[in-house]
Amino acid sequence: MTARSMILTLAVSLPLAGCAPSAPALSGNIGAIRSGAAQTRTESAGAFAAINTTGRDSAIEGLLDDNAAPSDDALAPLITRDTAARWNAAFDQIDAYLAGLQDLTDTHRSDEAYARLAGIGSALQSGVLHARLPRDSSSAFTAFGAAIQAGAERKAQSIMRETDPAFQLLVRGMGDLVAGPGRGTLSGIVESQWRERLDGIAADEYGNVKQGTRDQRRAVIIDYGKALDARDAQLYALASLRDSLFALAEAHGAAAKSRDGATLYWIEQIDQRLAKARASVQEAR
Amino acid sequence: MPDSSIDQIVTELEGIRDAVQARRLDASDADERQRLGAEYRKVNARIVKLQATAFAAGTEALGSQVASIRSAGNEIKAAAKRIDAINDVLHGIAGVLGVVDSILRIAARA
Repeated sequence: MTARSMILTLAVSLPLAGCAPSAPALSGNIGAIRSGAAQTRTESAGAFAAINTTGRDSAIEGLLDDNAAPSDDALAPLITRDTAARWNAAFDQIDAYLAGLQDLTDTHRSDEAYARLAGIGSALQSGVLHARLPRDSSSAFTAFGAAIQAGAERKAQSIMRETDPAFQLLVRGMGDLVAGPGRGTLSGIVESQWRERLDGIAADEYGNVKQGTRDQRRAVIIDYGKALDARDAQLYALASLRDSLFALAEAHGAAAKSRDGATLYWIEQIDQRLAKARASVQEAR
Repeated sequence: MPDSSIDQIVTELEGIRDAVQARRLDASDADERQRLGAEYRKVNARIVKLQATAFAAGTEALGSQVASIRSAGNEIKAAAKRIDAINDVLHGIAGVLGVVDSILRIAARA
Protein backbone atom coordinates (compact mmCIF):
# COMPACT_ATOMS: atom_id res chain seq x y z
CA MET A 1 0.00 0.00 0.00
CA THR A 2 1.46 3.38 -0.97
CA ALA A 3 1.42 6.32 1.42
CA ARG A 4 -1.15 8.02 -0.79
CA SER A 5 -3.53 5.08 -0.84
CA MET A 6 -3.05 4.62 2.91
CA ILE A 7 -4.07 8.23 3.52
CA LEU A 8 -7.08 7.97 1.26
CA THR A 9 -8.11 4.67 2.82
CA LEU A 10 -7.87 6.18 6.29
CA ALA A 11 -9.87 9.19 5.19
CA VAL A 12 -12.73 7.33 3.55
CA SER A 13 -12.94 4.52 6.08
CA LEU A 14 -13.89 6.92 8.87
CA PRO A 15 -17.16 8.80 9.30
CA LEU A 16 -17.42 12.19 7.66
CA ALA A 17 -17.14 15.53 9.38
CA GLY A 18 -20.91 15.93 9.41
CA CYS A 19 -21.17 13.07 11.91
CA ALA A 20 -19.11 14.85 14.53
CA PRO A 21 -21.09 16.23 17.46
CA SER A 22 -20.44 19.82 18.50
CA ALA A 23 -16.93 19.35 19.80
CA PRO A 24 -16.58 22.22 22.27
CA ALA A 25 -20.02 21.51 23.87
CA LEU A 26 -19.11 18.24 25.58
CA SER A 27 -15.65 19.39 26.60
CA GLY A 28 -17.15 22.66 27.91
CA ASN A 29 -19.91 20.85 29.81
CA ILE A 30 -17.41 18.51 31.41
CA GLY A 31 -15.31 21.54 32.34
CA ALA A 32 -18.38 23.09 34.00
CA ILE A 33 -19.11 19.85 35.91
CA ARG A 34 -15.48 19.80 37.02
CA SER A 35 -15.71 23.34 38.28
CA GLY A 36 -18.96 22.47 40.15
CA ALA A 37 -17.20 19.51 41.78
CA ALA A 38 -14.32 21.77 42.85
CA GLN A 39 -16.80 24.19 44.47
CA THR A 40 -18.53 21.43 46.44
CA ARG A 41 -15.12 20.16 47.55
CA THR A 42 -14.18 23.59 48.91
CA GLU A 43 -17.53 23.91 50.70
CA SER A 44 -17.24 20.48 52.31
CA ALA A 45 -13.71 21.30 53.52
CA GLY A 46 -15.19 24.42 55.16
CA ALA A 47 -17.91 22.30 56.80
CA PHE A 48 -15.31 19.86 58.20
CA ALA A 49 -13.26 22.76 59.59
CA ALA A 50 -16.31 24.35 61.28
CA ILE A 51 -17.34 21.03 62.88
CA ASN A 52 -13.81 20.38 64.14
CA THR A 53 -13.47 23.90 65.57
CA THR A 54 -16.73 23.56 67.52
CA GLY A 55 -15.76 20.00 68.52
CA ARG A 56 -12.46 21.27 69.89
CA ASP A 57 -14.25 23.97 71.94
CA SER A 58 -16.59 21.35 73.45
CA ALA A 59 -13.68 19.01 74.18
CA ILE A 60 -11.91 21.82 76.07
CA GLU A 61 -15.07 22.41 78.15
CA GLY A 62 -15.23 18.67 78.87
CA LEU A 63 -11.61 18.67 80.12
CA LEU A 64 -12.36 21.69 82.30
CA ASP A 65 -15.50 19.98 83.68
CA ASP A 66 -13.40 16.96 84.71
CA ASN A 67 -10.35 19.01 85.66
CA ALA A 68 -8.47 16.62 83.40
CA ALA A 69 -5.13 17.11 81.64
CA PRO A 70 -5.31 17.56 77.85
CA SER A 71 -4.49 14.53 75.69
CA ASP A 72 -4.32 13.69 71.99
CA ASP A 73 -7.44 11.54 72.31
CA ALA A 74 -9.44 14.18 74.15
CA LEU A 75 -8.62 16.84 71.58
CA ALA A 76 -8.74 14.61 68.46
CA PRO A 77 -10.71 16.15 65.58
CA LEU A 78 -14.27 14.84 65.16
CA ILE A 79 -13.79 14.48 61.42
CA THR A 80 -10.53 12.57 61.58
CA ARG A 81 -7.67 12.99 59.12
CA ASP A 82 -8.42 9.51 57.72
CA THR A 83 -12.05 10.37 57.07
CA ALA A 84 -11.12 13.72 55.51
CA ALA A 85 -8.50 11.94 53.38
CA ARG A 86 -11.10 9.41 52.15
CA TRP A 87 -13.52 12.21 51.37
CA ASN A 88 -10.80 14.11 49.48
CA ALA A 89 -9.75 10.94 47.66
CA ALA A 90 -13.31 10.66 46.30
CA PHE A 91 -13.09 14.23 45.01
CA ASP A 92 -9.59 13.51 43.61
CA GLN A 93 -10.93 10.56 41.61
CA ILE A 94 -13.94 12.57 40.40
CA ASP A 95 -11.59 15.35 39.28
CA ALA A 96 -9.13 12.96 37.59
CA TYR A 97 -12.03 11.26 35.78
CA LEU A 98 -13.52 14.58 34.61
CA ALA A 99 -10.07 15.94 33.67
CA GLY A 100 -9.50 12.80 31.57
CA LEU A 101 -12.86 13.27 29.82
CA GLN A 102 -12.09 16.93 29.22
CA ASP A 103 -8.70 16.04 27.73
CA LEU A 104 -10.16 13.23 25.59
CA THR A 105 -12.85 15.47 24.11
CA ASP A 106 -10.58 18.47 23.64
CA THR A 107 -9.91 19.20 19.97
CA HIS A 108 -6.11 19.29 20.27
CA ARG A 109 -5.77 15.64 19.19
CA SER A 110 -8.02 15.97 16.12
CA ASP A 111 -6.32 19.27 15.24
CA GLU A 112 -2.98 17.51 15.49
CA ALA A 113 -4.20 14.63 13.31
CA TYR A 114 -5.44 17.09 10.69
CA ALA A 115 -2.17 19.07 10.79
CA ARG A 116 -0.05 15.92 10.45
CA LEU A 117 -2.17 14.56 7.63
CA ALA A 118 -2.05 17.91 5.84
CA GLY A 119 1.73 17.88 6.36
CA ILE A 120 1.94 14.43 4.74
CA GLY A 121 -0.22 15.63 1.84
CA SER A 122 2.05 18.60 1.36
CA ALA A 123 5.18 16.40 1.55
CA LEU A 124 3.70 14.07 -1.09
CA GLN A 125 2.90 16.92 -3.45
CA SER A 126 6.14 18.82 -3.05
CA GLY A 127 9.78 17.78 -3.40
CA VAL A 128 10.79 14.90 -5.64
CA LEU A 129 7.69 12.78 -4.94
CA HIS A 130 5.31 15.09 -6.81
CA ALA A 131 2.34 12.88 -6.00
CA ARG A 132 -0.86 13.99 -7.67
CA LEU A 133 -3.38 13.96 -4.88
CA PRO A 134 -7.08 14.40 -5.70
CA ARG A 135 -8.30 17.99 -5.51
CA ASP A 136 -10.56 17.22 -2.59
CA SER A 137 -7.79 15.65 -0.48
CA SER A 138 -7.87 18.68 1.82
CA SER A 139 -11.50 17.98 2.70
CA ALA A 140 -10.58 14.34 3.28
CA PHE A 141 -7.96 15.48 5.81
CA THR A 142 -10.59 17.66 7.51
CA ALA A 143 -12.97 14.69 7.55
CA PHE A 144 -10.25 12.55 9.11
CA GLY A 145 -9.65 15.12 11.87
CA ALA A 146 -13.39 15.39 12.48
CA ALA A 147 -13.69 11.61 12.60
CA ILE A 148 -10.95 11.47 15.25
CA GLN A 149 -12.90 14.07 17.25
CA ALA A 150 -16.21 12.25 16.76
CA GLY A 151 -14.59 8.97 17.82
CA ALA A 152 -13.16 10.58 20.96
CA GLU A 153 -16.52 12.13 21.85
CA ARG A 154 -18.39 8.87 21.26
CA LYS A 155 -15.90 7.06 23.46
CA ALA A 156 -16.16 9.74 26.16
CA GLN A 157 -19.93 9.59 26.15
CA SER A 158 -19.96 5.81 26.18
CA ILE A 159 -17.64 5.85 29.23
CA MET A 160 -19.83 8.49 30.89
CA ARG A 161 -22.95 6.37 30.33
CA GLU A 162 -21.22 3.28 31.74
CA THR A 163 -19.84 5.23 34.71
CA ASP A 164 -23.03 7.16 35.44
CA PRO A 165 -24.57 4.61 37.87
CA ALA A 166 -21.38 4.59 40.00
CA PHE A 167 -21.09 8.38 39.70
CA GLN A 168 -24.70 8.79 40.87
CA LEU A 169 -24.18 6.42 43.81
CA LEU A 170 -20.96 8.12 44.84
CA VAL A 171 -22.01 11.75 44.55
CA ARG A 172 -25.54 11.23 45.92
CA GLY A 173 -24.05 9.10 48.70
CA MET A 174 -21.75 11.99 49.57
CA GLY A 175 -24.77 14.32 49.50
CA ASP A 176 -26.64 12.04 51.89
CA LEU A 177 -23.63 11.99 54.21
CA VAL A 178 -23.68 15.79 54.24
CA ALA A 179 -27.36 16.30 55.01
CA GLY A 180 -29.38 13.21 54.19
CA PRO A 181 -31.60 11.04 56.35
CA GLY A 182 -30.12 9.49 59.48
CA ARG A 183 -28.04 10.98 62.26
CA GLY A 184 -24.53 10.16 61.08
CA THR A 185 -24.36 13.16 58.77
CA LEU A 186 -22.54 16.48 58.89
CA SER A 187 -25.91 18.10 59.39
CA GLY A 188 -26.69 15.77 62.31
CA ILE A 189 -23.36 16.56 63.97
CA VAL A 190 -23.91 20.31 63.54
CA GLU A 191 -27.42 20.06 65.03
CA SER A 192 -26.04 18.30 68.13
CA GLN A 193 -23.25 20.84 68.47
CA TRP A 194 -25.68 23.75 68.27
CA ARG A 195 -28.08 22.01 70.67
CA GLU A 196 -25.32 22.12 73.28
CA ARG A 197 -24.71 25.83 72.65
CA LEU A 198 -28.44 26.71 72.74
CA ASP A 199 -29.14 24.59 75.81
CA GLY A 200 -26.15 26.20 77.51
CA ILE A 201 -27.56 29.69 76.88
CA ALA A 202 -31.01 28.62 78.13
CA ALA A 203 -29.74 26.89 81.29
CA ASP A 204 -26.56 28.72 82.32
CA GLU A 205 -26.68 32.21 80.83
CA TYR A 206 -30.41 32.68 81.37
CA GLY A 207 -30.24 30.89 84.74
CA ASN A 208 -27.68 33.46 85.89
CA VAL A 209 -29.98 36.40 85.09
CA LYS A 210 -33.30 34.75 85.87
CA GLN A 211 -33.69 37.02 88.89
CA GLY A 212 -32.00 39.93 87.12
CA THR A 213 -33.35 42.99 85.35
CA ARG A 214 -35.52 42.88 82.24
CA ASP A 215 -32.59 44.25 80.17
CA GLN A 216 -30.25 41.51 81.43
CA ARG A 217 -32.78 38.85 80.51
CA ARG A 218 -33.44 40.49 77.13
CA ALA A 219 -29.71 40.39 76.29
CA VAL A 220 -29.58 36.61 76.89
CA ILE A 221 -32.73 36.02 74.86
CA ILE A 222 -31.24 38.06 71.99
CA ASP A 223 -28.07 35.94 72.19
CA TYR A 224 -30.21 32.81 72.00
CA GLY A 225 -31.96 34.18 68.89
CA LYS A 226 -28.64 35.00 67.24
CA ALA A 227 -27.37 31.51 67.99
CA LEU A 228 -30.55 30.06 66.43
CA ASP A 229 -29.98 32.13 63.27
CA ALA A 230 -26.36 31.04 63.06
CA ARG A 231 -27.37 27.38 63.49
CA ASP A 232 -30.03 27.67 60.79
CA ALA A 233 -27.58 29.34 58.41
CA GLN A 234 -25.04 26.54 58.93
CA LEU A 235 -27.71 23.87 58.42
CA TYR A 236 -28.95 25.70 55.31
CA ALA A 237 -25.38 25.77 53.97
CA LEU A 238 -25.11 22.00 54.49
CA ALA A 239 -28.49 21.40 52.83
CA SER A 240 -27.27 23.53 49.90
CA LEU A 241 -24.07 21.50 49.73
CA ARG A 242 -26.15 18.29 49.60
CA ASP A 243 -28.36 19.80 46.85
CA SER A 244 -25.24 20.88 44.96
CA LEU A 245 -23.84 17.36 45.08
CA PHE A 246 -27.19 16.05 43.80
CA ALA A 247 -27.09 18.72 41.04
CA LEU A 248 -23.59 17.51 40.16
CA ALA A 249 -24.97 13.98 39.75
CA GLU A 250 -27.81 15.34 37.58
CA ALA A 251 -25.33 17.32 35.46
CA HIS A 252 -23.23 14.20 34.87
CA GLY A 253 -26.30 12.17 33.95
CA ALA A 254 -27.46 14.87 31.51
CA ALA A 255 -24.00 15.17 29.91
CA ALA A 256 -23.83 11.38 29.52
CA LYS A 257 -27.11 11.57 27.60
CA SER A 258 -25.90 14.57 25.49
CA ARG A 259 -28.49 16.87 27.06
CA ASP A 260 -26.34 20.01 26.97
CA GLY A 261 -29.08 22.40 28.15
CA ALA A 262 -29.88 20.24 31.18
CA THR A 263 -26.19 19.92 32.06
CA LEU A 264 -25.75 23.68 32.16
CA TYR A 265 -29.01 24.11 34.11
CA TRP A 266 -27.75 21.81 36.88
CA ILE A 267 -24.33 23.47 36.96
CA GLU A 268 -26.04 26.85 37.39
CA GLN A 269 -28.00 25.35 40.30
CA ILE A 270 -24.70 24.49 42.03
CA ASP A 271 -23.39 28.04 41.60
CA GLN A 272 -26.63 29.62 42.82
CA ARG A 273 -27.20 27.33 45.81
CA LEU A 274 -23.66 27.62 47.12
CA ALA A 275 -23.65 31.41 46.63
CA LYS A 276 -26.95 31.71 48.56
CA ALA A 277 -25.64 29.50 51.35
CA ARG A 278 -22.44 31.53 51.68
CA ALA A 279 -24.50 34.76 51.82
CA SER A 280 -26.77 33.26 54.48
CA VAL A 281 -23.82 32.19 56.71
CA GLN A 282 -22.22 35.61 56.23
CA GLU A 283 -25.46 37.33 57.21
CA ALA A 284 -25.80 35.26 60.37
CA ARG A 285 -22.28 36.20 61.57
CA MET B 1 -26.12 6.05 54.07
CA PRO B 2 -27.98 6.01 57.37
CA ASP B 3 -26.94 3.50 60.00
CA SER B 4 -30.16 2.61 61.86
CA SER B 5 -28.38 1.05 64.86
CA ILE B 6 -26.39 4.24 65.45
CA ASP B 7 -29.56 6.30 64.88
CA GLN B 8 -31.28 4.32 67.62
CA ILE B 9 -28.44 4.78 70.12
CA VAL B 10 -28.26 8.48 69.29
CA THR B 11 -32.01 8.84 69.84
CA GLU B 12 -31.72 7.11 73.23
CA LEU B 13 -28.82 9.32 74.26
CA GLU B 14 -30.73 12.39 73.14
CA GLY B 15 -33.53 11.34 75.48
CA ILE B 16 -31.03 11.18 78.37
CA ARG B 17 -29.50 14.53 77.36
CA ASP B 18 -32.87 16.26 77.16
CA ALA B 19 -33.82 14.88 80.59
CA VAL B 20 -30.59 16.33 82.04
CA GLN B 21 -31.39 19.65 80.33
CA ALA B 22 -34.85 19.70 81.95
CA ARG B 23 -33.21 19.28 85.38
CA ARG B 24 -30.66 21.92 84.49
CA LEU B 25 -33.42 24.41 83.68
CA ASP B 26 -35.18 23.67 86.96
CA ALA B 27 -32.04 23.94 89.09
CA SER B 28 -32.00 27.12 91.10
CA ASP B 29 -28.54 26.59 92.54
CA ALA B 30 -25.61 27.70 90.30
CA ASP B 31 -23.37 24.82 91.47
CA GLU B 32 -26.08 22.28 90.67
CA ARG B 33 -26.53 23.86 87.24
CA GLN B 34 -22.79 23.58 86.64
CA ARG B 35 -22.74 19.92 87.70
CA LEU B 36 -25.69 19.14 85.45
CA GLY B 37 -24.06 21.17 82.64
CA ALA B 38 -21.00 18.92 82.84
CA GLU B 39 -23.25 15.83 82.78
CA TYR B 40 -25.09 17.25 79.75
CA ARG B 41 -21.83 17.91 77.88
CA LYS B 42 -20.61 14.35 78.56
CA VAL B 43 -23.76 12.84 77.04
CA ASN B 44 -23.72 15.24 74.10
CA ALA B 45 -20.04 14.48 73.46
CA ARG B 46 -20.97 10.78 73.17
CA ILE B 47 -23.76 11.66 70.72
CA VAL B 48 -21.49 13.78 68.53
CA LYS B 49 -18.73 11.15 68.63
CA LEU B 50 -21.18 8.45 67.51
CA GLN B 51 -22.43 10.65 64.69
CA ALA B 52 -18.86 11.34 63.56
CA THR B 53 -18.13 7.60 63.65
CA ALA B 54 -21.20 6.91 61.52
CA PHE B 55 -20.11 9.61 59.09
CA ALA B 56 -16.64 8.04 58.87
CA ALA B 57 -18.19 4.60 58.21
CA GLY B 58 -20.43 6.09 55.51
CA THR B 59 -17.42 7.70 53.83
CA GLU B 60 -15.56 4.39 53.91
CA ALA B 61 -18.56 2.60 52.39
CA LEU B 62 -18.26 4.77 49.25
CA GLY B 63 -14.93 3.07 48.46
CA SER B 64 -16.29 0.74 45.75
CA GLN B 65 -17.88 3.64 43.87
CA VAL B 66 -14.61 5.58 44.14
CA ALA B 67 -12.84 2.53 42.65
CA SER B 68 -15.32 2.49 39.73
CA ILE B 69 -14.61 6.15 38.98
CA ARG B 70 -10.86 5.43 39.15
CA SER B 71 -11.28 2.56 36.70
CA ALA B 72 -13.29 4.79 34.32
CA GLY B 73 -10.47 7.34 34.54
CA ASN B 74 -7.98 4.65 33.46
CA GLU B 75 -10.23 3.66 30.54
CA ILE B 76 -10.32 7.30 29.42
CA LYS B 77 -6.52 7.52 29.56
CA ALA B 78 -6.27 4.36 27.43
CA ALA B 79 -8.68 5.84 24.84
CA ALA B 80 -6.61 9.03 24.69
CA LYS B 81 -3.44 6.94 24.22
CA ARG B 82 -5.05 5.14 21.27
CA ILE B 83 -5.68 8.46 19.52
CA ASP B 84 -2.15 9.56 20.36
CA ALA B 85 -0.97 6.34 18.69
CA ILE B 86 -2.79 7.31 15.45
CA ASN B 87 -1.05 10.67 15.56
CA ASP B 88 2.27 8.90 16.18
CA VAL B 89 1.66 6.76 13.08
CA LEU B 90 0.95 9.89 11.04
CA HIS B 91 4.11 11.44 12.44
CA GLY B 92 6.02 8.28 11.42
CA ILE B 93 4.59 8.41 7.89
CA ALA B 94 5.66 12.05 7.56
CA GLY B 95 9.14 11.05 8.71
CA VAL B 96 9.35 8.18 6.21
CA LEU B 97 8.20 10.45 3.41
CA GLY B 98 10.95 12.90 4.33
CA VAL B 99 13.55 10.11 4.14
CA VAL B 100 12.14 8.82 0.80
CA ASP B 101 12.24 12.34 -0.58
CA SER B 102 15.89 12.73 0.48
CA ILE B 103 16.84 9.37 -1.07
CA LEU B 104 15.09 10.26 -4.32
CA ARG B 105 16.86 13.63 -4.40
CA ILE B 106 20.26 11.91 -3.94
CA ALA B 107 19.36 9.32 -6.61
CA ALA B 108 18.33 12.09 -9.00
CA ARG B 109 21.66 13.83 -8.52
CA ALA B 110 23.72 10.62 -9.02
